[in-house]
Amino acid sequence: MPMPAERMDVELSVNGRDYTRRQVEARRTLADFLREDLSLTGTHLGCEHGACGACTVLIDDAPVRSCLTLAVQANGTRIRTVEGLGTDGELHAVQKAFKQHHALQCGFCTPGFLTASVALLEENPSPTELEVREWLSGNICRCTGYQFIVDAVLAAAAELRERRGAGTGSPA
Amino acid sequence: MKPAPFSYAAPHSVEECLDLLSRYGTDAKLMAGGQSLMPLLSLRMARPSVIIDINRIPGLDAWEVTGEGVRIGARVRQRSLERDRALRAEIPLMAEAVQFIGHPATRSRGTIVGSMCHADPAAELQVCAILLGAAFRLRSHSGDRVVSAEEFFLDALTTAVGEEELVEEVRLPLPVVGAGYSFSEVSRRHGDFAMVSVGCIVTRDAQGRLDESAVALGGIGSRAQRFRLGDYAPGATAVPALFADFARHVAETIEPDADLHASTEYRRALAAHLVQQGLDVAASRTESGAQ
Repeated sequence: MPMPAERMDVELSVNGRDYTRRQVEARRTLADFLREDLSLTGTHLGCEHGACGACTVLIDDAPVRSCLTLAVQANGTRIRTVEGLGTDGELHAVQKAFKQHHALQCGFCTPGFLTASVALLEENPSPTELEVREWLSGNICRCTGYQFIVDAVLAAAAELRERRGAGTGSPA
Repeated sequence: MKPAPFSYAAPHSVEECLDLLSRYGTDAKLMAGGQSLMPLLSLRMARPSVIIDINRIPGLDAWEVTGEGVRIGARVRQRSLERDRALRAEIPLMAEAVQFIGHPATRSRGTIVGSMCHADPAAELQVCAILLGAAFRLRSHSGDRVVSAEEFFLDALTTAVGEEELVEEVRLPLPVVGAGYSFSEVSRRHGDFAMVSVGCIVTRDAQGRLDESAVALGGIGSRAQRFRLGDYAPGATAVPALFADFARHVAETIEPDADLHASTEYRRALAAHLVQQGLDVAASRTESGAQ
């Protein structure tokens, strides 16, 4: 029987980088672990009790609220945060679309919207507007409004489909 | 908004979990998806000294169909109800209800059994369990037992699960042949707690009687409530106003609480509307397709 402990070691991968034997308090949320222990402050904390969606990250490709997950529960997983969406100085198609469509003003909620949107498009490359709205219903924005965000996600979906079509030689 | 300190253990077998429960049961809290427990910890409305995380126990993440029905392990995520077509086909009511449970990012962690154990009176899965006549398999070192949904849900946030017990699985009967199911609800915002939610089954016996048709309602009090059509109109077959009359009867019988979001009267009106509409939809999905 494993004895309950207040601190333990975790090993996990974040944005392709492996972290080994990082000691954390059992009560540490994944969000606080990312921000405070790994200095990955792109993941934002709004409400800290699962209402706002700002802290959404991808654990093994599934979108989760990092404030509702303990760091110790992420042991052995592969995590992607907003910092890991782009590659080599190039923004992810979803990030570019947010910029082009003015899908952010203050930007506080944006990391959560970006990670949630990436998860949606990885699962469903051709979402309808209703599907985008339903998927993002768990993320709250208090200044931009949602119309431009929905526009951006639909534009990114089209862009990614076009890229994939061009890559395989099949029509987009 | 940080949880108070606690000790944490992640057992690797049901036996280890039961060992931990028998040792720390009174001070411990089991965690599966954590989507209800984590907010309570962060708000410090719950302060257990030990968290027992069942996410490392193999086997609990599986579901299977047996002769008696579908058995769903304690770790099966709510997302499985969206993504696993085979599972959706076995429990069409829950497959329809899942879209109303929180959001994708909570459903990818939250579990089916965990939601039922949390026993929020507005929770969609409690309504499904009550309507379908679910049963829960409880394990502990004092012995194993099977508890029906009617006996399982005692009150708001309160179940029959003992301090040293683990809910290993929920068992749901297979769909009734030829029956139609529907689930709907009204909430202020998609994914919010339902003001009223309604699950329906419409089914006929060989003589065409609708007696075993039923509805269950959530968000109307301390737990979900089930109403069987045969108790209201025994032997009824096809009466044009039957569903509307039954819906009115149900709405007058329930005693919903009033809160910030909805008055008692408004909840009754929602119940009458959702029950009638839900029965019509379920009837259209029966084999015969007609009321």
